[in-house]
Amino acid sequence: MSTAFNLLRYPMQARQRRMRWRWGSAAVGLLVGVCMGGVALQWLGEDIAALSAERDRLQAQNLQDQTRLQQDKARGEALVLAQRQQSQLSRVQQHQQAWLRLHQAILQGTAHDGWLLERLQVDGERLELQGRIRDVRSLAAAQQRLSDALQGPLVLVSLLSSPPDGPDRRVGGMGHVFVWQGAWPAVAPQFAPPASRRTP
Amino acid sequence: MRSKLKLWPGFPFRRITSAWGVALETQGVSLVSLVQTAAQEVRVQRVLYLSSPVWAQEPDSHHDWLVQALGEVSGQEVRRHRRLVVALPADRCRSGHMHVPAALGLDALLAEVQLGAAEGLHVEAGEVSFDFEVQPSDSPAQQSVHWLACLHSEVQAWHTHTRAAGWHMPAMEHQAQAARRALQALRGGMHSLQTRAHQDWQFHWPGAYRAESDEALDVALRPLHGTPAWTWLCACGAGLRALS
Repeated sequence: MSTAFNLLRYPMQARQRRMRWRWGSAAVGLLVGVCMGGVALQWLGEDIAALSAERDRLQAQNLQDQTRLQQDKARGEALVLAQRQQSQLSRVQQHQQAWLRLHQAILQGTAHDGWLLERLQVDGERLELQGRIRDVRSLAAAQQRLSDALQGPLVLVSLLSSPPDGPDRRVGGMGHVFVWQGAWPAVAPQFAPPASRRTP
Repeated sequence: MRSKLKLWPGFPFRRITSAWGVALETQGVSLVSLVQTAAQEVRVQRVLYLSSPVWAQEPDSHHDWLVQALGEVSGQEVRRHRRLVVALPADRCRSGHMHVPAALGLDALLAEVQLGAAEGLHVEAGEVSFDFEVQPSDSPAQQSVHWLACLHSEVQAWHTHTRAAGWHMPAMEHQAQAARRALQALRGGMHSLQTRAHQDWQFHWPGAYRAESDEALDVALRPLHGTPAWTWLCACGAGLRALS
């Protein structure tokens, strides 16, 4: 077998091979590291871009939700206000109807039942009515009819008999003064002032 | 030989088709430029014999002068053809055999061979350049190592100067080794050696011939020692190695 000695092999070429291996490994390692870093950066960049897009989308959605919430809140407040106004109007309407009923009932009562209205007072939710009747026996019927007309019971709280020669003789000659009380529909104070004393 | 296609200076994108072999002598240097003419055939393109100037008689300055002379005679060579292999004469090398345990690791084996070579050259261990070959041994516990060594300073100087001049030196070897290679590759064998001038020698492509044993080749080459044909044969052998 023919030999092929090379006097450059040791230590020179062996050292060069070692150096070449070291530098080559370092270069390959560096290249692989750079490639992996690049891939990682690319991946992170895509991830960050996706997260940024998600954040922007959520921010836009949040802004939209806030706007919708404010609109809903304003709409709700407007609705509450409208309901309260509607309720107030309803109460005012009931109040007016109650007045109408009271007026008609008093007109009918004075015409048919023979009693006179002396004083009418509305204090909040309480109605107080003072009249004078000639025949005390028809008082209960008159009270019942007026209660029916007002759709609320009236209670007799006072009944006084005046002497025939008393100071009330000049007023038609009726001798019995009575006072009825009953409930009266109230109107909310924020839309209408509390009912004050009214006298005919 | 100038390449027709040159993409980048010195880049071996094509097969090496031309190279130089250098055989050192005491007072001069034989240089041979070999070129591949066709597939499986190599011929001598140029031969030079340069006598060392007086200032370069010392072995330590031999390489400096020779690389400078090579640059002058082959200034037109493309970089990839600036290849040379130096064949050192026997008196500048030492060789030997040693037996080491078979279980020895590579680093320990290297250290043993280096120490043996330093002892053979009578220098410190760090001052030798060497190569070795593990040969089959009769004992399984032992391995036989054949080594060749020379002074590291000479190898380093050749390496430095050839690189500085733009040449590439892939190997340095012993002249006997180069002569064996050339004789094996020589077309016509000993007959051509004796009947043809060295300028007309033709060789097979390195490796494309039947290998013979070193002993048989040494026996055939023994009569040539000391003759001019020996030096030319060594230079051609070195050139064949530079081509391969």
